[in-house]
Amino acid sequence: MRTTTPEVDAYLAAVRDELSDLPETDRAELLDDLAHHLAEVADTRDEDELDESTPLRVRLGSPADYASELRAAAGLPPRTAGASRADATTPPRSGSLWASARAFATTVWTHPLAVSARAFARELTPAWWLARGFLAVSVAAWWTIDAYEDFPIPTVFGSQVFGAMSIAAAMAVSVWLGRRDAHLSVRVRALVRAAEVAIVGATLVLLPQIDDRLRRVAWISDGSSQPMYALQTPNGPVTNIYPYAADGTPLDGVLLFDQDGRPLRTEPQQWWADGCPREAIHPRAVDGVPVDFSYPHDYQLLPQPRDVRACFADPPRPSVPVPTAGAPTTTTPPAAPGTTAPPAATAG
Amino acid sequence: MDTSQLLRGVLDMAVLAVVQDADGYGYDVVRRLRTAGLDDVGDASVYGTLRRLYQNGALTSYVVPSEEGPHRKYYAINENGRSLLEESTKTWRTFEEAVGRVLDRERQAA
Repeated sequence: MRTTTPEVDAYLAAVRDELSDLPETDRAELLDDLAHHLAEVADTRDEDELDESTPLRVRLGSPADYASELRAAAGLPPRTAGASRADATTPPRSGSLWASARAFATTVWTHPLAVSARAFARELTPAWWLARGFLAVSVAAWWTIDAYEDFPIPTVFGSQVFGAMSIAAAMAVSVWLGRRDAHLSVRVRALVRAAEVAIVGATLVLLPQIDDRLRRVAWISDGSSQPMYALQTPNGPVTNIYPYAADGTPLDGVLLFDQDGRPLRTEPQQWWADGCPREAIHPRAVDGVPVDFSYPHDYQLLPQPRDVRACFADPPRPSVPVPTAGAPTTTTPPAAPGTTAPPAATAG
Repeated sequence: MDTSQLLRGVLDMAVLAVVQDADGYGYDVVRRLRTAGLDDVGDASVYGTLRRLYQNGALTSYVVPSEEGPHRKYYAINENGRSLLEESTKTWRTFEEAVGRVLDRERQAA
């Protein structure tokens, strides 16, 4: 075996330069007997007809490549980006718009905030599986909204119980699909994505309309056409009248007429603070005709699938300040129980 | 198929196997691997792998003075290296069989 040659020395120096960023101990370890190793390589006739005159650069590649291969095999970190490079050429820096856009995108994508946002989104994935199951059923129900009760639990085939069961089933399927997402075929996964887009799109379209749709349903289910309020005040339509006696006693069954002797009729109240639909009940004359100008109107709850306990037992008489009349009797508060006026149902 | 990627995963095992047969110095190991058919094996890769296995305690080394020139650093396998090689061989055989089964099934299906 020969001792080192100028070629080996030059090659070794270039490799050493490539390793200049390593701690001195690591570098010394690595280069310890590399000189002898390289001398031997230089000295050897290879099977593939390379003779001794073949330069080391041809046999082993450039010193930069040799050094990076050496680092990788020895389990050392690749050359740090900032370190200067004597032998290898640095890749040309492209000043094009595309390059800067890519660099910007990379900066944003790898920003710690973006990374943690993505991690957070991944944690939320199971919640999305549940949400899309719920929305899949709800969106279909909202589309054909036909009852007060389509929100928040939609009515499916006329039953909220069935609606809840459908939602549970849809959620189960959605979670199952979600957990298997990585194993689904490309076609099924594309279908799932398309369904997600459809569900989100339909939700965005329908959600702002829900209030309008519920209102329209309320008019329709009330059985009346567009209401035309016979009695209006600057504060809005009059739907009921609460008479009091001069001494402040609340009266029931009072028949009211206008200046021409025509009965005063109000339209029934459509909306109640508790959201429960009601129907006006009128006292009947002896001939069975309802007297719909007897005040105040009484209402009874309509049969409904909604939980009746959430409805007012009896809509309260509004509390009003009754002016003190010049009568000898003292004024009683309006909330006093009992009525003095007998029902005038037999009148007329 | 580019074998350099495959080689990267199994170079430790191949180097240990070669050294188990007989102690060897850097270029000697390269030559034995190439003679065995691993033509694409890189000089720097083998040299770096020997250094790493030595650092990790799978190989020992000793220096043999050469009559013609400078001394040579020989590497020898030790107990650690032998058990590492045994472990890697087992993993490799399982892997090889599994890939073989997959390829056979593909061929039958075709």
